[in-house]
Amino acid sequence: MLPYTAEVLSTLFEQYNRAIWPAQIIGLAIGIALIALAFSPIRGGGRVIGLGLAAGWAWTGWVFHFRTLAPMDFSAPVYGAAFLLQAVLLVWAFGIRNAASFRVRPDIAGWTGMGLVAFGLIAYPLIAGFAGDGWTSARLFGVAPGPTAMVTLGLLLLTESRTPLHLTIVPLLWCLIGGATAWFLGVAEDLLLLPAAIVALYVAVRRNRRRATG
Amino acid sequence: MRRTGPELSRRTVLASMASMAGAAGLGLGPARAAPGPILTRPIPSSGETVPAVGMGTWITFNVGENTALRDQRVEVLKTFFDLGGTMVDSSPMYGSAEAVIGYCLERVPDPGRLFSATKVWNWRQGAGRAQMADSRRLWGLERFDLMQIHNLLGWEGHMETLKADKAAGRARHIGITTSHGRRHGDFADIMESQPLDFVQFTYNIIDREAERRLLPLAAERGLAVIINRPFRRGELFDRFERHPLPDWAAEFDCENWAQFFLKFVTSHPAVTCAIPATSRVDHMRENMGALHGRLPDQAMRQRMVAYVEGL
Repeated sequence: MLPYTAEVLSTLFEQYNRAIWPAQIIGLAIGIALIALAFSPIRGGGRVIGLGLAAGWAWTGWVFHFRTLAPMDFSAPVYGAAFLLQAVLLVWAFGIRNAASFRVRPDIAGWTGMGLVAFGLIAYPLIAGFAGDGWTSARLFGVAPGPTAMVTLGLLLLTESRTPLHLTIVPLLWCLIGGATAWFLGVAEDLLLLPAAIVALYVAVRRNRRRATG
Repeated sequence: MRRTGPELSRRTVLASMASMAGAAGLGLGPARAAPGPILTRPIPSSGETVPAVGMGTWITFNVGENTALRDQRVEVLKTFFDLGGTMVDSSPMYGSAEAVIGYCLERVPDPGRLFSATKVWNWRQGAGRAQMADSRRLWGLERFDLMQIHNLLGWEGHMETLKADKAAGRARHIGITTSHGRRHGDFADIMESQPLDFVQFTYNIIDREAERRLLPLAAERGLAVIINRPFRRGELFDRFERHPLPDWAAEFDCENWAQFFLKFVTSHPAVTCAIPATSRVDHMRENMGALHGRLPDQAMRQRMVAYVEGL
């Protein structure tokens, strides 16, 4: 039951992007730094990645859902609360408990994680520019929900130990909501959220099982 | 906000509805959809009349702060008023729709024709009061012509508020709403027990459950009836628009599918007003055309149902 049209959502993102400029650049820079830390792990890198992701979830929850989308969509405060909860969970898991470190490995989980991160960071704005609503309405990591969820799922597949499944719940739920919204409204760049969620969940569970039995 | 006479009794209203349906069946209305008298219906409790086609705002007026989109809605509302429309229905649940209506009302030349209808949508009575005050501010009105309880949410507390608001002049009529067949049992119980002026629910050529209980009950209780989703949120066009309009649609002055669907709804004798929503001026013109010409009689209504069910 979406209370707006695709045209209205597109203009909302356009206005939002104009209002928060240049936060998108900062978000993109943080995203690139996070994947660089997974490629070249350093001491405390896991904590930095967790806090970087948490910053994106907190911004998107508060600035996008609560401040921007809520006047248009009665469900937005619920989404915003879930995004803030995810930020708290990330801070707790990686910032406080320092629960895991990240590393890109040449296996299925590594390639899948890298693919999701690349899609969230790069393909999202490219699709918006070439096949979606245009550059001005692009959804970007750290400030928009779709790419933030996708990059998070990708990075959670790059943890050195088991993938913390409890941290995938909110991103997976958003993939479900955002994917369904994309399906109903025909938003090109969000259409891959659903398959991305299915692939991420499958790879994470398979990987955790192997680690448990191996 | 037009008044046409003294308060009507239930019998007067039922008789008037019956004669209107009869006249429609006999083909006594104007021959073509053209300028001229428009189809109006009485509000039983107050005796006022409203045009039988109003305007909903779900999705269509939720355009946020975008000035270009807001200005397009100004044209839609202006067309609606120009073609005789008065009833505009909204809700705080519809995002920015009420703010956009307020923006439009400041820019249409004669918003005095407005019959303002909105809803309270909150679990809590106190928050509901604040929400209604906010709606008055957003629309730029001191009172609403109709305040409804949206989907029966927290209805017991809001009913107290609405009765008090009506007595205090903050709402001229009060009512309840539901949509798409939800809670019809509770809805009917409230229709029987509360001093309502209006009820609003879903009815269209596919969803005809309301014919069994709610519509007869509204007629019996002397309640004005607003019909939401007369196009089933656009789905009727998706399903049937590719098919030709039957030749016999001309017998009730129907020129397009929008008028086919709307005339089916407004020809039910218990219906006061259907509220299709649109963001397009050309669609608004098609919708408002349903206010003109003859209406289908009962036999024709059955033929209409059979036709769409056979497609």
